[in-house]
Amino acid sequence: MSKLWTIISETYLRQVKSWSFLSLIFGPFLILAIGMGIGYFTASNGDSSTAKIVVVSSQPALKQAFISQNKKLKVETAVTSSKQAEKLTKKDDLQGYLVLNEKQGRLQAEFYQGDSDNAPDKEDLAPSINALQTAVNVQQARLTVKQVQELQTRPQLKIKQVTGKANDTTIKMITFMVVIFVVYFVILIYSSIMAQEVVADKGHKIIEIIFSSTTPEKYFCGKVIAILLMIITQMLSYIAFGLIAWPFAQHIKSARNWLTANQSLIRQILHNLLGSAMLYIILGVTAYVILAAYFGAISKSSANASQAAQWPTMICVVAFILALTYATQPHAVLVKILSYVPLFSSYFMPLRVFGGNVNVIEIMGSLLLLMVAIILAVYYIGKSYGRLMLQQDWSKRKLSLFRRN
Amino acid sequence: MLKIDHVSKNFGELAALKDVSFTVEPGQILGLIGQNGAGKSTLFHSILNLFSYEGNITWQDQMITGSAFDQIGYLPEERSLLPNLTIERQIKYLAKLKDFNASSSLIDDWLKRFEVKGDRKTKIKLLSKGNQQKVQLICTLIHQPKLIILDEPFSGLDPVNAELLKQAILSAKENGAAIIFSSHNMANVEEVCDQLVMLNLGEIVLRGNVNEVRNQFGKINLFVTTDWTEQQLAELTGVKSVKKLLPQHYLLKLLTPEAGKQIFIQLTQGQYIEQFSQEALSLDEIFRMKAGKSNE
Repeated sequence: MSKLWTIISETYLRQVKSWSFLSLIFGPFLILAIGMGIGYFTASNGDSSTAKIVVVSSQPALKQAFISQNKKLKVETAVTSSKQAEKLTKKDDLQGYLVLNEKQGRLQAEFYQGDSDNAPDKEDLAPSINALQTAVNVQQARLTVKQVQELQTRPQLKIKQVTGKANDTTIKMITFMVVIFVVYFVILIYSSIMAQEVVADKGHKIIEIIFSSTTPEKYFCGKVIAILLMIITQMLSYIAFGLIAWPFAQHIKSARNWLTANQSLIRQILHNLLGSAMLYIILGVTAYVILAAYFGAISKSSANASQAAQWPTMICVVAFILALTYATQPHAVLVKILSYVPLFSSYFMPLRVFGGNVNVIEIMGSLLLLMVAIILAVYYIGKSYGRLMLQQDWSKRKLSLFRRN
Repeated sequence: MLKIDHVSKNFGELAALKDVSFTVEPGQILGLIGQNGAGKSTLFHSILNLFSYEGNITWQDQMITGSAFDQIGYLPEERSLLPNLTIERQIKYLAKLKDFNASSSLIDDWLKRFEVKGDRKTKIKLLSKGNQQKVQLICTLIHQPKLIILDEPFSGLDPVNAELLKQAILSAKENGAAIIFSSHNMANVEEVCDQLVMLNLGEIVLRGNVNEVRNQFGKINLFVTTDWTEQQLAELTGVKSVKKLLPQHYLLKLLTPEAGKQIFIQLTQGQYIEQFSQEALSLDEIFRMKAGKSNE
C-alpha cells in the first residue's frame, strides 16, 4: 500500500505542480476575469452617469427643477444658449443638450444627442422629465398632499415562476449539454496527460528501476489513481472558486441580476450534475484514461504522445458527436444500446436519465458494466504493462544483436 | 545467495541467453563481462524479473518477487533520473519504492561521501553527467540492499570518482551484500571482483575466480628490458611474438610458460638484466582472446 501511495503522490504532485496543470486550473478563471474586466471597461465607457449635458430653457425655474430632480446626469450650468451647447456637443465636450420648456401645462423637451458612446438617451432623461410633468400636473390640478400621496400609490406586482414540462425539458437539455461538454473536455485533457505520462516513462530508463522495486500492475494503478485525483482536484477547484466568487458576484449588479434571473436553472443543473451524472463523468473519464495509458504503453515512439492519445480521442469525439446528434432522441434504440457500452455510456446514459426514460436498475446496470470494464481493463493492462513498457528496449536489443552478427 | 540456474531467454528466434548458471554468495563480488549484446543486460533484467525466462533465478532460495525487490539495488546502464526533480526528492522517491525512508541527513551524508557537486535541493538537470551518475549510485545503494546489480557502473566516471565507487562497492561487500556488476573495464573487474563470468552470444565462455581464470592460460607474458633488438628476441626458442613497448622494453608472448626458463638463460647469460618478469595474461587479453575465438 505504501508503495502504491508513493507512486500516486509522486505522480500527482509532479503533475499538479506543472505549468500545464496550473494553467488548466487557473486558465478559465483568468479568461473569466479578463472577460469581466473588458465588460466592466465597456460598461464604464458606455455609462451615461458620466455624461455631461446642458439644459437650455427660457424658464429658469424649470431648468432648476430639472437639475434638482435629475440625479444621474451631470448638468453644466455655465452654458446657457443652444448655439453654444451645440458647438460644445459637436466638439464632444458635451454629450448633448436638452431644450426644455413648458407650454400650457405641458412640458416640451428636445434632446440633442452627441456622438459619444456614453451620451444619454431617452431612458436616461425620461424619469426626470416625467417627474417634472407630474409636479406640473399636481400644481395645475391643485391637489392636496393627501391626494397626491393617494395618486402615488403603486400596485403590488410579484412575479412567481411556474415550472412546467417545457421548462423542465429545457433544464434537462441544458444539464445534458453541460455534462457531455464536461465529459468531452475532461476526457480530451486527461487522456492526453495520461498518454504523455506513460510515453515519457517509456522513453526513460527509470522504468527499469521502478519495476525492480514494485510490480508494473501496482505502478499502473498508481498512475491511474493519480490522474483521477487530478481530475477531482480540478473539479474541487472549480467548486471552491464558485463558493468564493458567489458573495463577490452578489456585489456586481449585472452578475447578481443574471444569477437571480437564472437561479432556478442553476439550482436544477447543479442538482442534476451532482447525481448519477457525476459518477458517469468520473468513471467515464477513468475508462478513457486507462485506454490512453494502454495506447501510450504500446506506442513505438517515445517522442509521440499525441499519437498515443489519438485512439481514445477519436472514440471520444465519435461518442460526443453521436450524443449531440441524439440529444433530442433519448428513446432511440441506438441510445439505449450505447447507454450500456463502456466508453459510450458516459454520454448516453445521462441523456436517457435527463430524458426520463430510464429506471434506477438500468442506471445501476450501466454503471456496473462500466465499473467491471474498468476493473478488467486495469487488471489486463496492468498485467501486460511491464512487458509493453519494456518492449522498446527489447526491439533495440534485438536489432543490436542482429547487427553484430 | 543469488542462484542463476540454467537460465535461457529467447527474443523470437534469437537466443539472448543460453543455459546460463552461476551463483553469487553474500559478501562476494561477481564481474560479468562480455561484448555489447553478449546478454549481460538481458541477464540483469531476468534477475529483476522484468520479463519471463526459462530456468530459475532465486535470491536466498526464494523467487524474486514482492518484498525481495526491497533487498535489491539496481543501477541501469543508462542514466535514469527524473531531470526536474531535486536530488532529495529523487532519492526519497526511489528509496520509498524500496520501502526505505531516506532522511535528509542521510542523504546529506551520502552526497558528502560521493562528493556530489550540489546540495539536496539542486535539480537533477543542473548536475553534470558525472554527478548525475553519482546520484544514481546513491539511489541504488542508500537503502543498503543485500543484492546489488550494477550495469556498467564505472561508465562516465573519472578515475577519482571511479575510486570512490570502488570503495563504496567494497564497503557494501564488507557489509555482506552480494554484488554483481558488468564492466568493459577489465582493470576494474580485476581489482574489485572475486569471481567473474564472461558471456559471449548469451553463453558462458569463461567462469571462475579471477586469479584462477588468469592462471588457466599460464604465465605466457614475458616483460623484459634489454639491449637486444626486436629481431634477436623474436628468434629466441619458445617465443611466439614480440611487441616493443618502449625503447629497450619488450613484451614477449611465449608458446608455453616453460619456455621462460630457457629464454632467461639465453637472455642474461649470467649478466645483470634490468627487468625479466613472467606474468599471466591480463583479463583484457583473455577477454579479447575469448571474444575473438567465439566470433570466429
